[in-house]
Amino acid sequence: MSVPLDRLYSLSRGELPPDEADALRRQLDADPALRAEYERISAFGDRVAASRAPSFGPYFADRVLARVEAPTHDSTEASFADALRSVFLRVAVACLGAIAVLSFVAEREAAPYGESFVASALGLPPTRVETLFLLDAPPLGPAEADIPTAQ
Amino acid sequence: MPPASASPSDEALVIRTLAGDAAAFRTLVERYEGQVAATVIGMLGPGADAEDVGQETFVRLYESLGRFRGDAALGTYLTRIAINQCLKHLRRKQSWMRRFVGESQLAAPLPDRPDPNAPDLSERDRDALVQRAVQALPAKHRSVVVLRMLRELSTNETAEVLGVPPGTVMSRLSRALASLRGPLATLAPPAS
Repeated sequence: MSVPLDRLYSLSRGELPPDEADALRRQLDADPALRAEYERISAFGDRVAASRAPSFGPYFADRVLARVEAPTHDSTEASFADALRSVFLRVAVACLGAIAVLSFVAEREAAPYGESFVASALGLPPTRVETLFLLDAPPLGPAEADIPTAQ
Repeated sequence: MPPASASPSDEALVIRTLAGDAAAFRTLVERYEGQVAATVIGMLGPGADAEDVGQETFVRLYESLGRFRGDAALGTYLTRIAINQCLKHLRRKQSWMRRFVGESQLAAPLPDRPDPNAPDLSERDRDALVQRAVQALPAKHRSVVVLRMLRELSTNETAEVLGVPPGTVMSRLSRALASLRGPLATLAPPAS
């Protein structure tokens, strides 16, 4: 008859009620293989219980309090992610500012030629309605109509 | 009436900590440092990771003290935080290892493992062998072994910490003991 290993461990620690413990001990007496298993688990339990985990080292409480009183981070990985996020936000704000300034300058320079704000901001060549229907037509300059041609 | 020299209760220290008394929180840390160390080092092994997770456990406790209603004992509550932090750390580490080291390295045997059958194995080597065998278990089984065998919590206490039924604790312990059958077959009990 098989016995769950956790029950053998509970028996070795004296955790079972007396009647259950007596019944299990009778089984152990009748089954040498089960007895060997019990002794193995009991030895392992004694070994684990006897192994005292080392402490975190001196001044652990000081280190914890220093973390509690300082701005905390989840871990080094989280700190790295926070740092990246912070850098990204600053770079993004700087880029948006640069785009705004360049757009303003482009708009100021293109104003005399009557270009739209979008075309000047994006640096598009000047176009007229009639040139939109001509494929491969070169962009028109501001005074193309006035350029003299040889007759 | 308790004597004046009696150490303050956990409840009194929690109330004082919430009122901003850092010395009260320090007393809590010193009171539970050993329990947390046993849990965290049992789960992760000694080293910088265990120290970091141990600190994080107390930082989490500090941050959640306002929500602590006293339904469970503070030690149980703290052990739950410690186990959760360990499992989180192991998941993150495993994910990192999968990404950067590769699946094959995860299953590689630990180096310098002492031979359990060696006749001249010292007590320290045997402890190291036990520690390595426990840390080779899957995290869920490992947490049960640490709480039941190292911390010597009862089945019901372990179930409360892990938030699982007692039957689950028993079955996980049985599976863990079966897994340890091979590595620790000839392990002798500790010298008294």
